[in-house]
Amino acid sequence: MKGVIGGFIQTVRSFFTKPVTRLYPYERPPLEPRFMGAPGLLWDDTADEIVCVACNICARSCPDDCIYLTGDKYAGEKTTKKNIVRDYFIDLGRCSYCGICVEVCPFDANEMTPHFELSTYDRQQLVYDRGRLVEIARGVQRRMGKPEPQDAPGAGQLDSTAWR
Amino acid sequence: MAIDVGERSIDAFAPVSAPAVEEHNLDTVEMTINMGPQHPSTHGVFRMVLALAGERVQAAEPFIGYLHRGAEKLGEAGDVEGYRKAVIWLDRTDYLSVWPNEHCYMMALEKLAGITVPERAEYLRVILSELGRVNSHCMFYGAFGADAGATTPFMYAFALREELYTLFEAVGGARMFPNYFRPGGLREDVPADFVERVSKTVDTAYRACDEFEALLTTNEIFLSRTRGIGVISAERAIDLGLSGPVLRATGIPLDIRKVEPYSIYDRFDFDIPVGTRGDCYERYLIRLQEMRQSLMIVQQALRDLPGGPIMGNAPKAMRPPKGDSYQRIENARGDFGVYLVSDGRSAAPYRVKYRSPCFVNLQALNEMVVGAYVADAVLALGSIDIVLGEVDR
Amino acid sequence: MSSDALLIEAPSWMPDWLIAPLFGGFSLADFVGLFVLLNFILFFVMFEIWLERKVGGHIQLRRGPLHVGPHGALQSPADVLKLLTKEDLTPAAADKKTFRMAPYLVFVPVFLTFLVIPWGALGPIQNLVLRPFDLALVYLVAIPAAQAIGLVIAGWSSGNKYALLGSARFVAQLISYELPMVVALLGVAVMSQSLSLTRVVEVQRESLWFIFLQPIGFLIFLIASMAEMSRTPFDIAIAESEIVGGPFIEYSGMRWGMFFLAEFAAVFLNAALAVSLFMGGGEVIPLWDQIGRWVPAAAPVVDLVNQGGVLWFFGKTLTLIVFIQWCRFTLPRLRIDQLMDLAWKVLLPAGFLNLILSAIYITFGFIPFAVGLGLSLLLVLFIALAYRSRRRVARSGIQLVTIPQSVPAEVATS
Repeated sequence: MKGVIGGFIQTVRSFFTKPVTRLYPYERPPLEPRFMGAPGLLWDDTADEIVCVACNICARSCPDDCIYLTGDKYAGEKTTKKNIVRDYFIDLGRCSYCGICVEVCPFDANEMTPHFELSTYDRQQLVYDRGRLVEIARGVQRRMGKPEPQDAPGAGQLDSTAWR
Repeated sequence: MAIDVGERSIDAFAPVSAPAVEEHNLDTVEMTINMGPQHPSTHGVFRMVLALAGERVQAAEPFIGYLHRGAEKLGEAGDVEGYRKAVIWLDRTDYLSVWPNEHCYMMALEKLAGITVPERAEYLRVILSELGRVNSHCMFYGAFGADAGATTPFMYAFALREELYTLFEAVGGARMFPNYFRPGGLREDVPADFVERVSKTVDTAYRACDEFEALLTTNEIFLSRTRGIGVISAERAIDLGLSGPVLRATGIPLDIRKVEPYSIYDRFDFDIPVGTRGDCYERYLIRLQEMRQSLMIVQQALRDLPGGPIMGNAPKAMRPPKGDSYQRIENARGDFGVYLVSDGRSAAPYRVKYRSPCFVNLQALNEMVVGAYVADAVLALGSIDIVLGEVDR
Repeated sequence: MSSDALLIEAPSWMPDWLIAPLFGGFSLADFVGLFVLLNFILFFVMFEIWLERKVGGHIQLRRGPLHVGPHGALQSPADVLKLLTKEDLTPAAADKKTFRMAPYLVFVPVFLTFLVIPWGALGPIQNLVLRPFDLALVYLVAIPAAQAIGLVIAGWSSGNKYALLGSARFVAQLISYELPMVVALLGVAVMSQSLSLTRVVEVQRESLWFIFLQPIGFLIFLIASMAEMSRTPFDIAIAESEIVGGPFIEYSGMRWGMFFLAEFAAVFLNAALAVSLFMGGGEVIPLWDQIGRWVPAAAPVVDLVNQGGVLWFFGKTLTLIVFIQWCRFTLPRLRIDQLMDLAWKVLLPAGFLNLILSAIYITFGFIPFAVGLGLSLLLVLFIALAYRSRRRVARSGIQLVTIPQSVPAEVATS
């Protein structure tokens, strides 16, 4: 009987312990700084144009072949690009969120965003186009491959509210 | 309608042979029951067809392949960065303990390409691998309790796993599939508060292990459900090629980390729990004890963690010379191996093969289950601790 | 139903028009009482389901229902609405008539049994009971036996092998555990010299609660009733993780809801029965009425407290219900053969021992009974210890092996 009684004591103890439940969606989950949500395209604020030059390395490195992009010759004067991306699609239904596309990008043009609430009613809506990808990366700094800044946010300080 | 299972076929309308049946001239048939791919207790999409005479299993036939995703073939894909791409499949084979598999692939690749790994990266890899093992054994504990009918251990296990997953998210960026190990070391260094966080998590995990034990280990009902159930002998275990806790429960102290030490495991002081009778209860005890041993390894590694670089001399473009390599590690489930063949020219492996311990351990299911009750069959399956991602790849 | 020999007379304050027979010998008081009782049980069961989910949640480090109503209080009504609006599926391979009949066969006996429970004092009413029945203990054994039929029908008519397995397990379990339950009830009947539940409560109020006089009987009754209701650790017949619901597997919507309702009503019923039979019905603490007799000055207080007997009854019932729910979330389940071993090899002999002790109490008085009780408890302890040391010899264990490093694997199969 002793083992059974030990079990009862344990359950009584846990009855009076604070539950570990996090009341999502009222409490936002505290994301870590390195959290890899959907990949997004970075926007160059000073030059007010997209960073990506459509070199296609991310699309070729993607294990799931979920990136499709096309590019144009760059006709502007704001930066020294030769090409600039025209269409950029990521099929988030296929994406494995591995971060390889971000690792291999030589121009620091993308980054994994904290955007993880991707549920839609239609699978087509999971294919994000260039505009949406820029939108979800708003406020995201390029972090992959850069040394961790001294004042890097600690755990749970990454804001996940903006990317609903 | 007959299904062939080797010597004995499951015939849907075969008469039951039992002394009582013959003596009283009863007209009975065996019942074929399908514990199908959707079932609360098959630990994933595993299907088992049982032929029952009342409550006793007369024959069992497993069906696998419901989670086959072609991981090995996909590992050969890619004209660019093929070796890097293959890593994500290692995450997804044994998806409960992710890190040992990444570790194995990286070691195989490093062996093939002659890459050295700096000390800090080795220590970090070992810490994460052992935490992955703890994670997997927690899941086993929860699922095994749920198979036996107790729903509370499952919740306790997941409370601990949540802490571990938060830690993995902090280190690798994703909870389950971090894709963090790279040939030559790690993708990036761990965050600044890594050592404190891991120490705290280890303390929490020790306390959680005690709570786990309090709930099931000495519970008389649990003991009567698991002792003497699903017994397999040492000779049979070796014949079948079992490994991991299933093998160690039969009394054979075979742990790859001790017998063929890889990475820096020879620097740590830990013991191997070994059983005597090869039943479900001993497998359960071994896994709980392994959790504690893993936590001890983590504490030792944290204490000795050196500074320094986390990436060795890996080339930018990974094109290993022609050849092959096989690396074997001690997964949470047994002897996991990666066989890597390179043809010297392409950016992707010519062949990646994963030697899956669960796939081999499943061969023992038939022996454990035939002659036992249905309830025991469920527990025996649970105690082998299969994860279908690894069985099916 | 209106045999004078079996019924106790209606209380004197009821006016004639209330107790005059209307249809089929039932009076308006009967109809009102039935209506109130039925609704009360349904609402209490909803509360009980909420309680179980909350208790289970907090035991499991989570919260249980939270969003629907304050602290999830409206979750049960919401679930009832959901079940009522679900599609009513009948499997193609099922025997339709019996498939539809089965839930009622399981649900009705539980509600019938509620009629005879004495709920305790309420103001002027000495003991609130819908149908005071002189043969209540026999009734208690006979009526729930119909549940076994209902469950077998549910399993067989579903046309599903899992359901068949579940119902086979169910019938073995229910029949096995009726015997220890009957023997425990016999002990109570012998000790109170009556088969009427109201009389049993009265005897307990005059002497001592039967939980102290018959601890073995109480444990047997509790365990046997948990097995009759198929609650963990005895839920092998439903066994979520093996046969996914047993006989209930093919039922959906309100049909399943009736099984669910019957199970929780049975929990309430068995807790209420255990309180009436062993814990003194409406008495607030053991020996409360005795205090009124020994200390005449306290008699007004005693009477005042006694008037709220229903409250004390529900307090004790809730305690037992929470205990039964606690068992569910703590213990793994027994296998069917272990379950039946427990019934036939442990509970039944213990029940007979209890019966003998009750007989000693009645025939020879308290002292020989106390001696007998002490001896039997010692016997139980002795058997437990002997069994334990025999099991320790066969105990399996693991050892921690320290292997020297880099020893080639010579795997001896010794």
